[in-house]
Amino acid sequence: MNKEINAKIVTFIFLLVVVALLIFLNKTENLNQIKNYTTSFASPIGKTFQTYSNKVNNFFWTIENIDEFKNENIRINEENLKMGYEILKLKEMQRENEILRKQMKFSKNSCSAGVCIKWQMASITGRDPSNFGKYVFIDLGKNNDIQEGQPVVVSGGLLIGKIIEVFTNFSKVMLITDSKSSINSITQISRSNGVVRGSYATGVKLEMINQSEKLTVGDLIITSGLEDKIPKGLIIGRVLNIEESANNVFKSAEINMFVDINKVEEIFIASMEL
Amino acid sequence: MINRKIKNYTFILFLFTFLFLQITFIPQFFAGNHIPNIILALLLAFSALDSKSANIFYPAFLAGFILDIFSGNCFGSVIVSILVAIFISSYLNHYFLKELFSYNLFFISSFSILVYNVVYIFLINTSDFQQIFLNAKQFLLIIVFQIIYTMIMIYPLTYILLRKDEK
Repeated sequence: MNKEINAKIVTFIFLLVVVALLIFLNKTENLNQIKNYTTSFASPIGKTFQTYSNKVNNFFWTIENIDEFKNENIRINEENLKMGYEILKLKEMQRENEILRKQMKFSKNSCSAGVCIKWQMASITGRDPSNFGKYVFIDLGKNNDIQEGQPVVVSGGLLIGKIIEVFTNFSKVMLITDSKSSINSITQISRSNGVVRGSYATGVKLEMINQSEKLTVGDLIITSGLEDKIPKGLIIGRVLNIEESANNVFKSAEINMFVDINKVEEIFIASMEL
Repeated sequence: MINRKIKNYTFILFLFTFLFLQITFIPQFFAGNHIPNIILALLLAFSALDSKSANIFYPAFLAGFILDIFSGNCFGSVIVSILVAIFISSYLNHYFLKELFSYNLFFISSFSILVYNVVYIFLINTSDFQQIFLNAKQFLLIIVFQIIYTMIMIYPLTYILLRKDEK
């Protein structure tokens, strides 16, 4: 019986040594070819499953929330009336803005203060199979000039993550809900600087705000532009709940994100061109 | 101690089908919820069926390697966690699993799942390790869901593998 246990221990230790070797090979980027082949095989299937699983999840979600739709409909109708007026005002402002841009000789696309943003569309092809990581894989890589640190957004300029690893044909994206993610940000109205961090329990949080700064519920949180490859003004979410205590040096706030990251299929990679 | 020699083709068929599902369908379908680890369930079932030999470590290693490629966390963390969990499960099965479909299988598998998760979060990052224990409720939920998913699978899986083996 001891012989069998010994055999297990020897195999276990032998495999741990092989793991150490693999970790070394991974650090020296010698495993990239294997990663490329494996991901190329799984990507198209993952992409298909993403679309179908969203449809199935949406179906169950609709059944679960059918009672809330009536109230939601009334609220949306009221909001529509208000929005109609807001749109009229914005159209007028846009017209004025265009005239001013022409006068200032700025280009029409996403350019301001001499910085232009190039958008590349990508698809999510896979997700982290574990419970402790919020990562997705996208179908653009080194061949498409993708670089580490580039922001990943969905339509409307809503930031959902940033590129952390780039391979030949695919890249790994760390979502802002991951506990290791941190994004320099600023609130739109009160101009309070902070860091948006992912959290296991609450999704995302705005942290490191000085006690002296005024923070209001509903204030929009945008990227501050302090990071190298992340332009200023990408929307992260809205302040949902402020947490402050006299004992703490900094204030923090829970963030309400405008997009359900788990249902996103098409995304955009932003690259700044000076 | 239970000592069944599972036929190679059954083993390979199940392992690759489950690996394929774990990296494609499962994370997409369960996105935002608790993701079941069907690979761990399969390996625990195998470990219960053949608790005598050390053969289970090689598929555990292969599965961990593939899952590590698709994991965003540091490379090697899944392989080591799976190996440790399977080693413990195999060791406990060797001494305590006298009958296959018993409560012992439940307790040993649950303990192995707990070990897997603790080792995994410890390896991915020390700050995560602290954060997850600060959010103890969240961590407990992950473990409970993992145990439920695994238990839903492990008894039928063990039964199917046993039947296949007897044919």
